[in-house]
Amino acid sequence: MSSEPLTQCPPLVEVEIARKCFADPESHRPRIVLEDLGFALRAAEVVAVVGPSGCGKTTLLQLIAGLDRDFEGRVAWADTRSEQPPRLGYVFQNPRLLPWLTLRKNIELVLNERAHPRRQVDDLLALTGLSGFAELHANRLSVGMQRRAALARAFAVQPQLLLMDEPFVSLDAPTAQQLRRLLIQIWDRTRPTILFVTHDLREATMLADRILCLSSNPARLIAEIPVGIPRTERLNETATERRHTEIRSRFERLYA
Amino acid sequence: MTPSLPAQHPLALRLASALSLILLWQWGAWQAQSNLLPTPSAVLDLAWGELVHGPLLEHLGATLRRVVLAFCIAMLVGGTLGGLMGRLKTLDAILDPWLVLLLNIPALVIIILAFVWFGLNETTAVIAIALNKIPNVMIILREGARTLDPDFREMAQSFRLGWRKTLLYVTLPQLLPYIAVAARSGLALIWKIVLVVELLGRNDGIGFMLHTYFQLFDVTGILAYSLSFILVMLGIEYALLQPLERLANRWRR
Repeated sequence: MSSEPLTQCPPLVEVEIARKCFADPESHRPRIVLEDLGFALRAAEVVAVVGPSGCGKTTLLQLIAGLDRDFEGRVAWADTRSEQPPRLGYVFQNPRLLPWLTLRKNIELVLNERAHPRRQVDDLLALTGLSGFAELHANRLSVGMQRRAALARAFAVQPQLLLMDEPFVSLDAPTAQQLRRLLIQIWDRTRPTILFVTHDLREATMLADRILCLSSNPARLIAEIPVGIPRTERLNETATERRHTEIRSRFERLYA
Repeated sequence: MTPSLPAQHPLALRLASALSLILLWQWGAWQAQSNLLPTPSAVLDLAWGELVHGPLLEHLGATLRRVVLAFCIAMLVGGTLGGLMGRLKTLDAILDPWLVLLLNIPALVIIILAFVWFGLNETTAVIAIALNKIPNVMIILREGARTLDPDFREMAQSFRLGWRKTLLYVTLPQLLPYIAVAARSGLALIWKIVLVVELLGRNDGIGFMLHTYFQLFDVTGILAYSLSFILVMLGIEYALLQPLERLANRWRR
């Protein structure tokens, strides 16, 4: 199954953003953030979004998630005429766990009550190394643990589309690497489509099937780099490292 | 450095302070030798007599029922309106003048007008008390709703928690400190106003009894009834509201 070329999979969502503006806080004039931005995400595809800081990558995720409807263009979902995706997991830049709930309750909250989620939550907590902390309130966990919990929560809903906004930033290198491996494992189980924002080109090379490069002011799609490392080779560091060097030189020419 | 004695025994200090108040009262009563300032024991005697053989419990019950009803109405109506005003700019613009007006009408005016327009009955009494409290709750909960964290709202929205889960697990916990402040300040306000309402337009309750004793210039009766009511309200504050607040804040570090 995994040998099937990705181009043959049907698109899960087509994103066509003609224009997205924000009012400038000082002059109150609209400032264009995203313009002429179009791409499709296919089922089970992993796509990275890179671009200069503040160029509107987070805004792009919010538009796709339906959190912000105030833009020109459309986000069209396959199999449905609704503007919202069928099932969505979102890993925000900050963990956004509810501090008044325990870790377990935080994850159970996003699940359907009828689904008897206890075992499923236990599995995820074990995978993310949080089994011993399930009954602690979320604000008692370290930032790294909260990030892992936020990942567990997003995986728990078994999303068809998983949006992640710099999910591994500000973590120590071993933890980040461990979480990337975890992501690959979990992807292998349920095969969601993943769109994630990152600043780390090495991370994009390791995880993504292709990388979308955005310009800034306004953000347009300036390049789409296929990574082309087979899924089974992702954990092989020499393979990713070689490809990373190639992509980096292309990347540097793009943003020179 | 060893901590000073009072810091080690805050409870002892409180008790000593309360005791000194009673001693001061006793000393004042001895000095005055007048039935305008009875001794603490005389007040206690009367209160006990009224409790066991007299109508104290009945009047206390009537007042407490009004306090509870008005409190619940004010918290529900004021909380809902205030919360919505904090979220919806249009509603805020529409209701704000009403709120400012209501906030600035003296309690007595509301009570008198309510009795004149809607008659001297129980419903009017309770509504009049609640009306005095509602703007206060609205202001506190509007402030609370304005501080709701948009990050959590986005989280609830993207995981499609639905309105029931969002309200119960995301919104209300954030509002809880504001609800607690509104509840405590509200109870203090209501139990002061309820007596005025009873004095003006009811023929039972602590306020009614105070009115009766006032006409007789019976200070012992006034003190006996008001002190027993104060004790009950303090009991509610310490035994009910404060433990509830602590329970709700347990998760905080």
